[in-house]
Amino acid sequence: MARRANALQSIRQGIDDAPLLVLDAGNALLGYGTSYEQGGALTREAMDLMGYDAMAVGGVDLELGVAHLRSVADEAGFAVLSANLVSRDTGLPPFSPYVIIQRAGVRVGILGLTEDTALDQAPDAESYEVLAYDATLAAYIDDVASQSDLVVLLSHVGLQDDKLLAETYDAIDVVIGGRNARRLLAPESVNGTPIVQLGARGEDLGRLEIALDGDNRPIASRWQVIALGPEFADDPEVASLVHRYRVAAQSPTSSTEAEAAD
Amino acid sequence: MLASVRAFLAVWTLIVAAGMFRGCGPLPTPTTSPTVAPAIGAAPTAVAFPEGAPVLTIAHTNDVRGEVDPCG
Repeated sequence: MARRANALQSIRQGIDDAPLLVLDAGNALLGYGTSYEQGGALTREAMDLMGYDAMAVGGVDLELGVAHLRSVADEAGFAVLSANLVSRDTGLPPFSPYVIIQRAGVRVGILGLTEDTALDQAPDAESYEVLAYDATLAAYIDDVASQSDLVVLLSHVGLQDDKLLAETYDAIDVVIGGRNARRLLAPESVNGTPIVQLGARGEDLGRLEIALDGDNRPIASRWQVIALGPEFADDPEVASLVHRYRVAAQSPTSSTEAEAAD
Repeated sequence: MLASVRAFLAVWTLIVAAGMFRGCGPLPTPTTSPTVAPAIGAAPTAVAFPEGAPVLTIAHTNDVRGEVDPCG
């Protein structure tokens, strides 16, 4: 995680004032060790430090419940997105379906999708449901596209469905995917739409560059997988954050998020 | 006896090599200056962009699962 922060800093320094987005395609917050024990607070805080703009909701993010993730999202400086996770009572999504981010004059619409099994481990699963991907996109895509120069599908539905959706919806310009944790060696391309996905556990950082025309429409793209090996030094701020949470987790009297963050 | 020693060394060589391949080998002397790792994959360097075209960069991750240190 601290290496990733270093790599992101390197990217920021290399592109000067050109627009940059930092996105996660889901299953980010919970899962292993301290992050799970602290309810995702460590990961959320680290993602804020790293300047993440948005993440999609994945099933692992819901393992402590939709309501819990909602509380984490309220604290986050980035958008937590899912268009197809909805309340059974109201039919409304508990998370933002999409977000429009304008950066250096480029309007990027980012639409989040969650996999159909995402509620399997959620303790409050009975109150929510995951809607079909295709019907959800049909409901939102024109709205997102009309407000954006380009549309990013931030998807945790898996590569196979990502391909189908990219083939069906011309308005999707880019798919940033997850779920399979399959480290692609080159982008998949469907109808000219690049689809990218990395492996698991944060061992890599993806860098997708998109050249734009005078109307800020994409005209070419290239992709790089940056393996976060030991040649990357730890970012001191994120390393310090991790250390602080680990110490708090080991203390018998201070295991809560609030105490860890003090 | 010699065969046992050779087998032992072979196993350890495989274990160490596997760790290095995952990027989890011994850490070098820490520095604070950012570095750029080499890209893997064939496509990234093959695409030339039109000169002067603005470029949007998307840095991304997936399925990190709260992992703090993949090599820890």
